[in-house]
Amino acid sequence: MISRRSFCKASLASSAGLLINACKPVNIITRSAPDVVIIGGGFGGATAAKYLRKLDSNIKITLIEPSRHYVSCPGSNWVFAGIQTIEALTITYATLSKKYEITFVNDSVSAIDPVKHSVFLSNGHRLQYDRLIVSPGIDFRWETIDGYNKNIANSIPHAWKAGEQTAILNKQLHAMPNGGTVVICAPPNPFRCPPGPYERASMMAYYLKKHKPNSKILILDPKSQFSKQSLFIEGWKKHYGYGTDNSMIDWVSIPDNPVIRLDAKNKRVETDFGDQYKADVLNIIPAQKAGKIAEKSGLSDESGWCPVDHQTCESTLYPDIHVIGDASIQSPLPKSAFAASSEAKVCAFAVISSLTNQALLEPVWINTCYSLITPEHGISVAMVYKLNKDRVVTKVKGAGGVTVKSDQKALYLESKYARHWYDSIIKDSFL
Amino acid sequence: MIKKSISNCILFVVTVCLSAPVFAKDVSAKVMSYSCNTCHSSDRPLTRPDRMILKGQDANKLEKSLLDFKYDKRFSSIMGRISKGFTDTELKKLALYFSQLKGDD
Repeated sequence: MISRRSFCKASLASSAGLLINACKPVNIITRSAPDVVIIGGGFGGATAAKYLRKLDSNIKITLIEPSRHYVSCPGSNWVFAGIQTIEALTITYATLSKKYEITFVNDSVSAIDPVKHSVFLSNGHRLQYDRLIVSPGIDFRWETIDGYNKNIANSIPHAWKAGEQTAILNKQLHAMPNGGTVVICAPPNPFRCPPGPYERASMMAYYLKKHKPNSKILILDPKSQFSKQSLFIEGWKKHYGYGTDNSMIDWVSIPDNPVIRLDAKNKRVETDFGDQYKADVLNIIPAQKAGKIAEKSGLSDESGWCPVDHQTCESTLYPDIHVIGDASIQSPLPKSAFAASSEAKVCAFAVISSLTNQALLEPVWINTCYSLITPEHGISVAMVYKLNKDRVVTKVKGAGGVTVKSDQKALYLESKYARHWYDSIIKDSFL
Repeated sequence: MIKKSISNCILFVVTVCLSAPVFAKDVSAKVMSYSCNTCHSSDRPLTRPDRMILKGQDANKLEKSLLDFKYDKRFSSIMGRISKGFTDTELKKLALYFSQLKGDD
């Protein structure tokens, strides 16, 4: 099968520019509706599928996802505070598929052939695409912590992919005696959900303060600073005694002395210089990279993440393949569900423009990351992004920023908006 | 006859000029509106749900709200930070766009 783009390129190469206009009629006569295949049904992939359909009623859209349900990472820290359940975080693909006429393929991808425009499924089937959107999320760099691996994560969870992992960690938190120590090993940059480890500590502290008030949470961090740091610290001071001898949360910044070893049997981690930390509940969030299929298909570079053109999300390594969400390099956009959704919409516009030979539209991205410190104390960081003169995504000067922390009304409203935001993004992406 | 040709010519030139791409990098209302949907899609009532639904709102009122947020004339927890990312012209176009949306648009 010859793709329209390669046909156009071939025509141009052989017959000079006069054939430019011939590409469109040939496409209409000889090809049925274009095929857009999406790999991965997280916030990126699901949003892309829905918005492609909103923009074009004609194209064929296929979403490949190995799970029948999606468990949302946003909101999953709230489980530790007892204000959210995993059931409520679980979304079916049935509505998305039916309402927006998206073919849902419940399988995983074993390989991508970017030259032949083919995707191979684990069941042996092959799908052809005109445009491929890859939204594989993250994978872990297990090798960065000696002794940690996928199997051990069943007893020492990362809980950085929501669902079973969240349940394991929550169960351990509930089983921990009063006076126990929770150790959270935070990951190095860049990683999924920059405020996530600190919201997790807050939500666990909320539970422990109520039920096991002599307990402690220790965050071992290879970074010297973190997202919304001053807002978290203010909140921890207010609710969890941060900075006092009785603080429930301790943040230990060890950028020159990171955790490198795990003694799983004794739930003990060791740093580069040999400092040891013993936990009753141990949560290791390892260093990250783009999801497995990205690496396997050569879509990621030496950084472990996927370079893309920001206006189209098209891979700079392979044409007609777009990478969105956590796996793609779109800094200063963070690796968040909101950013993934924003990128998916920019990508959907670009894919439709390209398939219909229209000029690209000027994109815009928004990101807001809400975190809860208690169920009634919310904080956020927000930003609007546009393309700069070099066509690179960049922060709009004067926009965005963090919650005005002195404002009590804002803190309360933000906790309400955080939960409203969750409802809204689920509806916008999946329903 | 010649006069008519000249006026046709002028008309042609004017039309071409008006339809030529504008090089200002304003974002289209539809593109902007998709970003708004992330927070403004829920049907679940908040304290004042009318504030959250953008479709079908009066264009002038919506534009005023957005500008008031942008220039800190009205309290907001988040909209001030967001609306500062857009030009006044973009906010005007956005308000008009949302005012014309209905139902499942």
